[in-house]
Amino acid sequence: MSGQTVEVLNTDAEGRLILCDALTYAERYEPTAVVDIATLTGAMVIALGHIACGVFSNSDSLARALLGAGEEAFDRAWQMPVWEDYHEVLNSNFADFANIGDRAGGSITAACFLSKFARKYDWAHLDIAGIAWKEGKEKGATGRPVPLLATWLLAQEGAA
Amino acid sequence: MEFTIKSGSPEKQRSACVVVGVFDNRKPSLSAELIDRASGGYVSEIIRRGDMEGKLGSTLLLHNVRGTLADRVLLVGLGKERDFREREFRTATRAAVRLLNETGSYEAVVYLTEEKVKRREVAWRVEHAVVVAMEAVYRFDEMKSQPADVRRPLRKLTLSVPQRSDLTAGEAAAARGLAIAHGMDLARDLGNLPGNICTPTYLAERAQALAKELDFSCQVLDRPQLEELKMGSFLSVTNGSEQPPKFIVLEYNGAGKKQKPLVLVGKGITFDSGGISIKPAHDMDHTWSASSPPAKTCPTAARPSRETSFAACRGRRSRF
Repeated sequence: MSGQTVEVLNTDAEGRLILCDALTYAERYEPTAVVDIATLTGAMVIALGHIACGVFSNSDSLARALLGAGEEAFDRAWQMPVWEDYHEVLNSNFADFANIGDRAGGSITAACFLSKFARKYDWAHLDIAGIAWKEGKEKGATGRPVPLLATWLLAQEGAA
Repeated sequence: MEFTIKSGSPEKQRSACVVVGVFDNRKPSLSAELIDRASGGYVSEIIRRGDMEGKLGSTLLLHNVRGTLADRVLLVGLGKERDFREREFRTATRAAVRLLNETGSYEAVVYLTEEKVKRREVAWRVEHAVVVAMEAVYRFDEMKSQPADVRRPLRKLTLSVPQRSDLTAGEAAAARGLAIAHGMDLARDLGNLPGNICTPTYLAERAQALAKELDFSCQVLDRPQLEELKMGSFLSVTNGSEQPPKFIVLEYNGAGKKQKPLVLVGKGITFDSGGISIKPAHDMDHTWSASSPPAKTCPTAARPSRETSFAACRGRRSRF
């Protein structure tokens, strides 16, 4: 939808292919901020386990607001980088870029992919792969990060 | 479950159960001390015997404690007093609610919300007690052919605040907590539904029902509209499924027209085949989140009066 082309190197990295068009669609609202939320990568589970979700953002103030809301709601998040240096692994000989890098920093390169569709507004991405589910005896959905998001939205309302 | 806020002495509560905390090591909280005094030292005698050390999350249920008006008194271990922080408060509350849900009590008065948590006000304690309690009693029976009955489920919790002047803040915090908890329940329900029922079409129907209930506007874009928007990437994924794609847009306009909106985006993949890179068998039964976070925050976010737009998209893939 954005006019960019993607080389699909891994069909299991499909979540980001869904999200990217939705991020482009969001432009029509001229939003203050866009937050996408996704159980995106197994690498996120390896990085932060089942306690915190990862926050990736092109705006430090938005990232800080989300981290603060996570603290307040005890639905905690931790900031991860989306530096330009990480983008290189998405280079493609065939399309504008690929949908996956290598295994190293997999949750970060996934966020880098999304960031290419979120250039026109303040954007944050929550990778909730580690926190959305519980395993073992209490297996099932956790309802996270609803508390973080709700707390953030309420704070935005207060600030407006 | 219903929540009310109250301020008063624990020994004077006419209730099925009064819940008070004990710190590690064997140090009664103020409310536990009040019960102890009213009972002529009965609680401290039990603590001395070593049946309640105050270890975080431990519980001891007492019946017919003299000098009190409640049927039961539940002692809950709070851990070390100087370490009593957010996590400890939530752990102790969770332990109490789980136990209460298994006793014959339909209701209880909880004094844990009176315990000081570092950096946190009474409103925080009340909000979190509500969220944790709702989380603890959550069950997913929709897919059971014969749901198991909880014999006497907990129906009402009264949360105690230290002073009468805390009542207003406490009530607002309880409402906030309940809104968040309802959002979580919806998210859990959707996430726990299997992929053959929770299809993109099903999600779209739920979104429409939700929009009606909460006065959101809901628009569901189908394949022809998505093609027109040139959502090639989105469609490349959904083409792998026999289930038709749905792109769900929920909008809530609670603020002035001039205010720019916030947008939440989720993916809502309801079934994950693993593509050409099949996942380890272990992972196959909990494929990445079936539900979509934007939908789940809706009931919660419907309360604040802020113009918020939810652009959510859903896709679905089947086995190749």
